[in-house]
Amino acid sequence: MRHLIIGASAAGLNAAKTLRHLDPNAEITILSKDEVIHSRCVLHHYLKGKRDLAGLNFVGQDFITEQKLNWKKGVQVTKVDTGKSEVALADGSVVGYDKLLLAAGSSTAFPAGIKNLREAKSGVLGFRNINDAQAIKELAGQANVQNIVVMGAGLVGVDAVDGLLGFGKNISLVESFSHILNRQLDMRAARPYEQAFAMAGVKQYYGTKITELVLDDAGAVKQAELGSGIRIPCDLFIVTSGIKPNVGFLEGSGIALGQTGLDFDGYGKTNIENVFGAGDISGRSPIWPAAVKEGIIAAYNMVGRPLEQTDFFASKATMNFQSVATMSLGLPESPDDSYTVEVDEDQAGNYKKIIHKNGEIVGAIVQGDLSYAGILTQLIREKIDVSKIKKPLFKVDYSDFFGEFVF
Amino acid sequence: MKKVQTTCNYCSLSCNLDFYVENNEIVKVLPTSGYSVNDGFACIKGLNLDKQLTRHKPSPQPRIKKPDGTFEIVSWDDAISSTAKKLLEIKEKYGPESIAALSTAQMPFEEMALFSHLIRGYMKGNCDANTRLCMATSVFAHRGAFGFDAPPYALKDFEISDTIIFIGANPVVAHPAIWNRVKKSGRPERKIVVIDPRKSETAQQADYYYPLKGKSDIKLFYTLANYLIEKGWIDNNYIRSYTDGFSAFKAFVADYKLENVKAETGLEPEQVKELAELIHNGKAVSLWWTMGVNQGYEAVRTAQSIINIALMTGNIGRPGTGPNSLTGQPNAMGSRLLSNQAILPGGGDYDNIIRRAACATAMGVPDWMLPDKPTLTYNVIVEKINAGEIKALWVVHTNPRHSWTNNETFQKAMEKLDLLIVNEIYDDTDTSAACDVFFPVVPALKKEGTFINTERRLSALRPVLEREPYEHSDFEVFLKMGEALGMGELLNKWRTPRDVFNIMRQCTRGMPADFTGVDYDGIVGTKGIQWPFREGETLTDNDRRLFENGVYYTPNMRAKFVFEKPMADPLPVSKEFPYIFNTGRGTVGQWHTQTRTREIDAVQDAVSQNAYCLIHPGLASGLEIGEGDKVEITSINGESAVFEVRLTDTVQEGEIFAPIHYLETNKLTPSVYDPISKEPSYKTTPVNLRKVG
Amino acid sequence: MNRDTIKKREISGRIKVDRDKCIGCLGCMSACIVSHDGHSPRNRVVISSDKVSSPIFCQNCDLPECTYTCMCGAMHIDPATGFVLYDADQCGSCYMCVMGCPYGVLRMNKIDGKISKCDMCVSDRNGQPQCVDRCPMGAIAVERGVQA
Repeated sequence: MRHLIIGASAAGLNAAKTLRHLDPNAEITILSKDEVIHSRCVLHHYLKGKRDLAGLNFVGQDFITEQKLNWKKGVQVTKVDTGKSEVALADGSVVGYDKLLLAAGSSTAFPAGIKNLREAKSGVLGFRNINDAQAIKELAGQANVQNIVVMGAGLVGVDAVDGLLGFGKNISLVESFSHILNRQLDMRAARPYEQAFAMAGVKQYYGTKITELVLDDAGAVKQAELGSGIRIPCDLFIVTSGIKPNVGFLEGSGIALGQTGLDFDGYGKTNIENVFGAGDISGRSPIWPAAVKEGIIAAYNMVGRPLEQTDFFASKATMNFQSVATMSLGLPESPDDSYTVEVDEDQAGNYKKIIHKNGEIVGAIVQGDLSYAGILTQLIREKIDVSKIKKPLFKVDYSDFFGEFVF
Repeated sequence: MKKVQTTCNYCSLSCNLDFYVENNEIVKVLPTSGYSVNDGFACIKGLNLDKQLTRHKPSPQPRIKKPDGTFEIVSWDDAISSTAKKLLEIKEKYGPESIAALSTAQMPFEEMALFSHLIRGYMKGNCDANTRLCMATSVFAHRGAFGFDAPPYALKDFEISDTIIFIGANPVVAHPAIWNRVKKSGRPERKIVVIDPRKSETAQQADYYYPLKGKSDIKLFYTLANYLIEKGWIDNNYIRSYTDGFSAFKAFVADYKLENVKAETGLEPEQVKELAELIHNGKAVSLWWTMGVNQGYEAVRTAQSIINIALMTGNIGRPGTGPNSLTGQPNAMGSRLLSNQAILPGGGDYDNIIRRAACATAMGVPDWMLPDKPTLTYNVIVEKINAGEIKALWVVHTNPRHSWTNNETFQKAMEKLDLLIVNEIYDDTDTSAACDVFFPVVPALKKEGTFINTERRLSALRPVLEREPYEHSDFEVFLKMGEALGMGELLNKWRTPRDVFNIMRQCTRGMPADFTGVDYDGIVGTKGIQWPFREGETLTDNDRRLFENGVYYTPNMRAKFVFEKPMADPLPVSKEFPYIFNTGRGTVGQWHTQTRTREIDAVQDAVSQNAYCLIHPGLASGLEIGEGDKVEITSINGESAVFEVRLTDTVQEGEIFAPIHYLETNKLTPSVYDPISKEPSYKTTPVNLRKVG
Repeated sequence: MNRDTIKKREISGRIKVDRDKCIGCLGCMSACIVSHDGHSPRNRVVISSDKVSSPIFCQNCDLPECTYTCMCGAMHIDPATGFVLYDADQCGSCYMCVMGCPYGVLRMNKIDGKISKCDMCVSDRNGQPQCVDRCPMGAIAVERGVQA
């Protein structure tokens, strides 16, 4: 059996490993643009110099040989021919398959609405993969790059800011919403981060958009204009406001796309019998654990062992910036007054908030010591009734569900 | 990273712990590897000593209650001078015996000794300690039988003994580091026996378990003695060579017949026979008792009935044997030996002129500075406060509002006092919260001195953390108070813990507990040194036991059989109060009144926040009480309290057990004491109960 | 993902808990601290709303959420033992595993801010889980044997 996987990140490599676990004799080929295996979620550590290229590897340095994989790196897939069950590469070669997994991930979306963003010849980058990180690191190290603007204060944007702090540059963070990490945090939980970045010299602009980039004659970025009309100096503009799935190479293949990206079901199946999908390429749940699970699920179904995705809870994240850790689950704010919001704070910087209604927790923020907080993920994900708990919800633990779920 | 080896000040084992410290912060805590007591293990309390004062922090300056009932934070100098003035006024107005103190076995003996020097020596007031609640019974039992308060064993005997008998002891919960040694040393033939009304955690792990009726142990041991004699399972040679009073004892126990044992103790004759056989067949039999024996209305005689079994079977003075009292507090032995409360420091009654001279010389004081009688006991102090005779009380590191038997009587006492002074690390304990003068002293992590544990082992307490300039140890508070009281040169030899150690060491010279060979600094970082260890001696064995030569501390150097006809239960169950209320430790993580262990998250996550009691399902179903229900328990002492119910067949049907860590528990225990030791009878209170929710 | 339909890996032992025997002495937590050089315990015991002492231990899950959530490869399945092991050097302290653990047993290690994760005492000189060794009540045991 020939398994072909496009993409060598969380979904692709977990699929490969699972395929090997399920079928020791299968022929498994991986095609990727990536030339090195790297975790896209710790690129800020690379920027900081806290982690080198090898340190970004999340599967072990000998993964490819240990798992007996055939990895073609640095290649670009241009076309999928589902009729012939083969894919074409940019170099003109073709690779055949019995089962195909599309796990090509996503890329930075450069919004069209910002004047000159797409026109800029230099000084505009995303922060999505190691190529971006290397380019940023090189530019940020240059003396003529003094002003860096990061657009989007979501997790990726804050990663970028965090990774750039040590370069001694003027950093600005621009976000259209009212506070940092607004998808994950309420104003209270955002405060320590905003304060810490302010202390570190980061200028933060909330509730405003970038409308235009001002370029020099060579097309290099020089300034960024905010919605208020203010122009801030900018030698490097980093776009972290959104992503788009990498589905361009599927054009004309007959593989169906959905509203957000590649369309596949709970078994990883696309509309084509022997073609599967996993990870960010769907544009649905762009978080690491979802990609990992989808890779594993696709692998099971590729070998004919039905395994279904049951975990659709993707509004979850943890973060650890400036020595403040936070876990965010579900809704960061109560949708309306019908919910109960419980808050617990102490002097040591621990902040906890749980939003619930009729015994169902719909949102939780835990900041500071995150110890033992994983149970909340399970309770929210599985919508487990917590009304029987007789202790403070902040103290909820597995004892009240002992034996009720097993992993 | 700095490493400091010091002594844990929770239970009587006095484990040693290594604290790793960086920038005056504790990074980690590990049990001291190779230390004699706890070699590389410790319970959850000790391992979390670094949590002290992390969540509940009092003001670093003293707190004074003003006449209008509000509190004021004042400077140390002001607090000490105004308090000294008040104490002197009270003494002047009402006489020296209007001043009393309740000390503790939770602090180094150097501090205890200095405290008594002030209160007993200089002020001529009374000073008892929370040791009265704990091991006073053993003290009197030892003195009667051995001629000196001398626990004969080494904890290592747990590893050697082939027949380990626990009586009213629950080491799984009370002494985890020791249970670990018991378990580790298990040889296939080794037997563990538990005698306890409650099927305690230890009983559940025992090879033999004898569920007797509460407070019937004395009759069990008299019956057992009689049966051993009848069978000839005694060591006549040992009795003849090293003991006194056996024939009278033999005649006395002849009345304790197997056929009566069921009615007296609840045990079958066959069970007594089995126990006798276990003792007879054992080559190294050890008998260990704790609070189940000590806290009773005829506790001293009960303890001595255990000692008698060991003496008559020759199970003493050999490895793995002994009638052994495991106590409750880290410096219990230091308190008993050196606190100058019931005996002169190092031993000797207050009318012993030779000992008085020796102590006065060692202490650098004139004879008048030594007390001329033992202190009034804890119960009398509380009674005299309530009678209006004692006006000032100084409480040091103990929480009698919670821990004292029939604890509402202490609440009344607090209200009655003109002056309540409390030394504590917390300003919000049941006793310190409303006191007149609160001295926020540093915890043991910032103190130095010496502890003596349950097996007579001296170990060093050394500061783990540096102190801030304004922080005071108990020692400094006592010293400054002594100066403010006008003690002047009477404190000349008492300037530092080291000074006091050397005084105390000198006081033990030539006495059974002679530790003149122990050096204040030399003991640091060691495996601890048991007394006796005399000047010039070389330590060849880290785990020594007493009486290996059969020589006792009595005038004729023989051990004594002490016995007495059991008394009638002063508080028998009745129709009105048909059930027995038993108390004890609930969990390993909770310490006594929970002042310190409330700061340990791991403990708080694992224990009930509300008072609870254990009830047998048989009793519960008759009263239509279910798991988790609330019951009101009404005690013969006139008080009542509400507890959550946990159903378990580990208690007998007519018995209710409640952990001591909740204020409610000792609200219900009575003002009944052993007539000799004056230790409260915490374990068998007649009560009634009804469901309230 | 269903635990029953996956192909289980071979694992050389799992901690099995008998909650009825637990007395909440926390000896297992002490043992864990002691056998891991004073680091925060990797197990815990909590009391339920119904006041039942409940030991919570890493189960080396068949579906180990901590490995799925780990973005650095620090949480991984050891091929030799089948245990989920943790490589602190590889860890990015993102705490995604803490979030992912459905039993809520993972915690932050107070010493280095990383993760306290049961390693079945593979690093201990005694070679078997010390929590099991030190439990006075036999409430925790290692269940040996290979999973199908």
